[in-house]
Amino acid sequence: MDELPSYPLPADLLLDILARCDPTTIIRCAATCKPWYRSITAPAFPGLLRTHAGGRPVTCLAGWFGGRDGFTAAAAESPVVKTVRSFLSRNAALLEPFDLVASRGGLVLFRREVATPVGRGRRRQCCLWICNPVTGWRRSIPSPEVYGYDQAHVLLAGDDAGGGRSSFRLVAVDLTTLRSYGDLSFQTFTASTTSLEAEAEHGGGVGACWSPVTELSPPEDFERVVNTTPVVLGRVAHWLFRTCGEYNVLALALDADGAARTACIDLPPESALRSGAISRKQMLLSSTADGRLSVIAGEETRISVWAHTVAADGSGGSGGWSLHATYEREWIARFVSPRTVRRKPGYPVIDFLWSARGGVVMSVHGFGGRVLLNMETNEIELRTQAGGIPYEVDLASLTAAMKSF
Amino acid sequence: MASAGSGDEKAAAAAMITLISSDNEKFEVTEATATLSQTIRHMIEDGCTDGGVPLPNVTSKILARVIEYCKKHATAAAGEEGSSSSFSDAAFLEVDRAFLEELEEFDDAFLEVDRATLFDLILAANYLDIKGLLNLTCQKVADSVKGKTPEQIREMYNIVNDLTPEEEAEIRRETQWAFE
Repeated sequence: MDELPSYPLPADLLLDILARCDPTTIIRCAATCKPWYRSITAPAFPGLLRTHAGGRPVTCLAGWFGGRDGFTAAAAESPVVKTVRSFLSRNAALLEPFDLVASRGGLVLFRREVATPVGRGRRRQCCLWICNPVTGWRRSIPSPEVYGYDQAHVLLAGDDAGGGRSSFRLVAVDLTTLRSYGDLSFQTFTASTTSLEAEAEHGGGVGACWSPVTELSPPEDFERVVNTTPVVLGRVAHWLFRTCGEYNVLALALDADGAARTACIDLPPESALRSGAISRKQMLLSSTADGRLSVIAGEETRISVWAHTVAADGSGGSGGWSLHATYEREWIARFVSPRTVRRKPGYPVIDFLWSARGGVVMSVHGFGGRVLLNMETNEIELRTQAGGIPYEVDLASLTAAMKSF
Repeated sequence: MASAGSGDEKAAAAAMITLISSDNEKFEVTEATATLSQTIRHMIEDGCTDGGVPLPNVTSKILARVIEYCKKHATAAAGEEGSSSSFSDAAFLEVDRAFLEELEEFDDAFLEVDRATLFDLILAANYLDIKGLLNLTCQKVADSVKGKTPEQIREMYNIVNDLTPEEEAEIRRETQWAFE
């Protein structure tokens, strides 16, 4: 017979334990008794937990949007996965024409492009829906004025949004004009994830609206954006650009008060990484498992991962790149080759598809499925399919709406 | 990590420290083993370990387990010092891996205890400031509640349910997805 502990653990040790749990388990712990419920639903709790988790917000990767059921589970089937799937099937008719463009803090953003005839031309606009597939919350957002060819959407949630823990901030950024005019324009939409539900159901959006258009001129030149989907770390969005044959990174820092600043981050010097010789498809901006900006570079024989350390003042400006890890192309191909006949001599051709928090999904030529490289554990996982955008469940987005007693 | 001259370190490693549990049992350990605890390390640095270190918050039963952990991990730390963790050197990597696997097996076996002991180990690891042990034991508790229902968690950790049926129903309604 198991001996039961006769006294409770001190609060800080309980936090140490909960910081190692996934959000579903934490929610279940909250349902055990009043003291735990109160601690877990307290506004300060996600922040405390973050401190105890070494600065990482307590999230769990539930899976990826895409695949056969619309959502591919990351590991075992969890209650979250079931809930997300049922949300998607419930809203299938509504969301069918939409593309999923961003996911942050448990929220997901869907976009649909529409072209309306204006005079002799056509005006491009977009319809946007933002949802929390776990709680079932959703609302529509009107089209921003800012809408260009290289359109990006930056989604900030919770503390990063700057409007309280149950808020979100959507920033529409047009990167198209950087090339010709050297500036970018953006607009911000801030709202709460708890209210406005009824209003949104009726196609409203009365309470919140887009801010006026702001223009910013970055300090350096940026020519062509490699991928319009930004890597968002905290309140800073990053895009990789190819400018005059070299790569550079545009950092757009979005302050809590709505102000924004731009900065340029140069890539590792040519002596360390001959990035100029690498094609656009072989360069991917990402983030490390501990939340630092990283660049994944497909060199001739190997794939190198470079991590960026931000200067101590947190300005996102000067800091340094260091070689985080390297993976030989042959090593990666070895996981795949038993399943398929290798086609040509030479180094294996590997394309990068997308990446998130310490993992990268690649396709190795000659192998039909996807290869997931976990850069935290240095493990390779073969998947027959892995969809696009990863979905992380965030504790703060779940407890924000819970009642207090 | 403090690194003094290697000569001094060797001499220090041979030095013995006496730890005294709450029930007055004495344990002789090497300094290398004892200094896995930051609390004891600071005491040694302050030179107040003569005549033994009293640990009024730790029983002999728990202290014996903690020392068992520290002994194993102190050897591991000493083994790591010599090897470089260079990625290119396959031989070193092989040795490291075998060592880490052995350590992992030890940790797994070490955690085969009842929940009261586990809690006592957490409290001792916290009091003695042994990061590795605290990490290990907290992770064990976290793993043990994973996928459990609130009822099971209450039962496992002796938690008294003071929620009214209405409150409980309200929580279930709000977080229905977590219970499906």
